[in-house]
Amino acid sequence: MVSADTFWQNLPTIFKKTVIEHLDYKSRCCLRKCSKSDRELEEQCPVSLEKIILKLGFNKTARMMFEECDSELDVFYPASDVIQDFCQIFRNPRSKCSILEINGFARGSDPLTTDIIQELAENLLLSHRVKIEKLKFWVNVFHAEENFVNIIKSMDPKHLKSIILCHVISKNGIELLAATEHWARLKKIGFGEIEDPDFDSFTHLEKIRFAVKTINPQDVWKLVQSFVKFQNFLTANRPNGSYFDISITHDANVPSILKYFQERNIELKNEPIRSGDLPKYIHTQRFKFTKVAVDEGNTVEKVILILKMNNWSVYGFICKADRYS
Amino acid sequence: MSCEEPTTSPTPENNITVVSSDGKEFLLDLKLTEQSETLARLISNFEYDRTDVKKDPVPLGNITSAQMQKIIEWLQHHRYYPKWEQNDIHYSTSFTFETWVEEYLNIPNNEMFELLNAANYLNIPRLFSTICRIMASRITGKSAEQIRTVLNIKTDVKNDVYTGIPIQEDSSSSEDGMSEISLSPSPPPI
Repeated sequence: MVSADTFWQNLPTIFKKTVIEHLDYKSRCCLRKCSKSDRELEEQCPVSLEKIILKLGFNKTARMMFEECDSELDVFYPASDVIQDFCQIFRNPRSKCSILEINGFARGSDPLTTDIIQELAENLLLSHRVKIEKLKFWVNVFHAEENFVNIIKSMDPKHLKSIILCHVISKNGIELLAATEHWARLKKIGFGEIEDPDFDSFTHLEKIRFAVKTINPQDVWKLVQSFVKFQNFLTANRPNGSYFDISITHDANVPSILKYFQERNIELKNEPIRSGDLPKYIHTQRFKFTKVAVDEGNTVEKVILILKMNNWSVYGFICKADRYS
Repeated sequence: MSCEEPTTSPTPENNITVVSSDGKEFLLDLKLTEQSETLARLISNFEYDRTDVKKDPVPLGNITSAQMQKIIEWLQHHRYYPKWEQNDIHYSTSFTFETWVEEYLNIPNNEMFELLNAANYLNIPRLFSTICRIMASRITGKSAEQIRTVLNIKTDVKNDVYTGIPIQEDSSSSEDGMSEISLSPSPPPI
């Protein structure tokens, strides 16, 4: 019988790996420090993390935090070291993280922030694509759009489903982003202001939120059409809960949007879904249709796209028809 | 999850005999063997689930009678549980176990080792996974030095291979710090 003292040393590698894969990241880091063999073994095991926050600090420093284990100490380290630590997590190609938040909200005007992002992108692009499902990029001002797009490119397009950011994106920036293979696979975007966007590039998304200076009736129509295929009265396979939420910094011309709808044989009917909507929205239009759920034995479901519009917002969402009947 | 365990008496038609490495025979209900992929495959290959087939005793050369007794205890407890399905390990592992499991696995490390080997040999995934989770729960949240103590690891690491900085053997103050998590060196003077 194996001695209790040599239990771990004698445990076959496959058993050890299974144990390691159950450990939280901090415990894994501690195990790495125990011996060289444990370090080598740990490196062979993929990491699964819920959330990583890369918080950017002064003087090109940063701090890495985890959802599962975080310290109270607000200690920052040289950004280069933190980037190396971050890349270490993804050294194993099967490592994955649900949410990566790059948080430098107050650091947007610091030119060193651009350097950090550039260094992060360069390091990540050196190896395989990292498996991250959702990227939150909280930097209030960020002009180095190629660096941002390189961060996106360093990620596995099969895993990246959502991008949330708050800075203003130029026309060039959104074009660079839309040209990536990741863009076509995205399900959700939540952006700050986009400069002169091409609405055709958003028609594949299920959840859309951003701000624009102005919006014309054709663009609203494109959004509505992308959510509802009027030719055969089927949705474009968007699940219930899909939405577009466009904020307009200059006034939206709702009458011209309604006129455009009328020209396309839409019978206009203002049907607010609750009493509070009446003073808040100029017009609430319900587009009723049936949806065939392809995955569920071709079952038919009656759904509606509810479109609410006022001078600063165009908001549409899909829900079950009986919810607001 | 717990299940009612109706009492059933094994009959020659619905059981097989397994023989441990020290020669002890165990009568095993065929229903129980479904949890062991090794035994289930063996029974299927030799058609031992048919009443007209003579069932020879199955030698289990890698498993002692004490381990077999422990294994049978596990199989009987999980007799009416749904079939185990191996899920992808998600972002956080649950270290919550039912009381029976905690008591069952409240055993010394060396016995745990033997049981893990037996679970692996017989391919009982629920037991294998549970033991690995129990072992992980014993070291999770502990410092490197505490893990060394629990697992009796003799360190051979003097310097961090990435930073070249000596690894602190134990520092309660650094336990909460970033360096414990990310292996970063000390913070720069600001």
